[in-house]
Amino acid sequence: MYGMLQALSVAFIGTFLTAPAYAETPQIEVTLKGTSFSPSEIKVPVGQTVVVKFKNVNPAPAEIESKPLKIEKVVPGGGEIIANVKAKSAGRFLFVDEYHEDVAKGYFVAE
Amino acid sequence: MLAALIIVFREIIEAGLVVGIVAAVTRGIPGRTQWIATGVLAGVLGSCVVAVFTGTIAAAFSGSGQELLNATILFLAVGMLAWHNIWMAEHGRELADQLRSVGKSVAGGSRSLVALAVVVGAAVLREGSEIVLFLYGILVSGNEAPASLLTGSVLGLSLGAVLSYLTFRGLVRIPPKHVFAVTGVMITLLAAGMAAQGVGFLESANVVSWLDATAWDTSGILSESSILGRVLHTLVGYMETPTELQVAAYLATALVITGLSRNARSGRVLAPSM
Repeated sequence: MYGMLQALSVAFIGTFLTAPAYAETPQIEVTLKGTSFSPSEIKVPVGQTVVVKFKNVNPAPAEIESKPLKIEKVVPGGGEIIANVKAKSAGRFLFVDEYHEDVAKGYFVAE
Repeated sequence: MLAALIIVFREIIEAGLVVGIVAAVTRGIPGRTQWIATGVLAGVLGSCVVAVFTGTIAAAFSGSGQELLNATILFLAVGMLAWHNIWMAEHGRELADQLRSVGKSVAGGSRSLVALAVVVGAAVLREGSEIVLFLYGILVSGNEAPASLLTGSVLGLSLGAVLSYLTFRGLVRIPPKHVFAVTGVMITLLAAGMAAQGVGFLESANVVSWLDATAWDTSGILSESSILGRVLHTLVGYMETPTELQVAAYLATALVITGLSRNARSGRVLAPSM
């Protein structure tokens, strides 16, 4: 069993070490200030991965979440993260700051 | 206050259920309370560390650090759950026998305890850092009444503890003869769900992109963010829009654990070739 676990963990670590390099630079930037995103509507192409940079200018951390597009990332206060956004079909997809999800909302518009 | 309660409770559901299941599964193994407590404590400490280094982690691996960390933690938990289930398959009968004769302890159970303590720690760690950051945010933002939000958070944490207890109570009511069969299935599904979730993080990190078509969309029927959705997400790995690869990972994990456990139960030696 130990051997199997070891082999598995080596395999997993190997997966991560070979993580692809992101040659493309973030194309879209979104800023979270207070409880509003700007822009609050972001156009994305259907079926293509877009790198979106989320900047959080608040002192408090935020959690960017979009269930339909499977984004769930924590952004520290005054920090930024990038998310790979891929809309598989056309539509409006909600994203929120989960810590203030009733007010801090935005949409990815895939067309 | 209610918003804080819901946020904290929602994040803690997974850890709450896992602790309850582990407590039930390890009944009769000496020292299990210490091991579970150690797992929880390590998870909480780890959460604080992860919360402090959120920025660094997020920036690691070209911005995919969070996803890769989550995937690693999940796969580690899957490995531990698999190991435990196979161990249980070998020793379940003696454990059940000894559960009936009160006071007898089970020799050799401690190795499996270590595995389960890791699982508990992983469950607490995964959602714990989000709770730590949420609480920290309340303290630094200062624009809402912090006292009310903190009350809500504490209530949310308490509800998580209650959930652990209820899960435990519910499971230990199962007669000893059947309890390990039931928990064996539960742990298998728990592991399968975690494997699918781990694959989801690899997909978010853009590490894997094959079989990424959506297998089904049941978001209109049961939202994954609802309380029931969260509970089912943890217990049986419910996902509203899984990819085909996630479904494949789920099935593969469930089949492998079931197969290896059967193998172990029938007394054959495990193939060490893997």
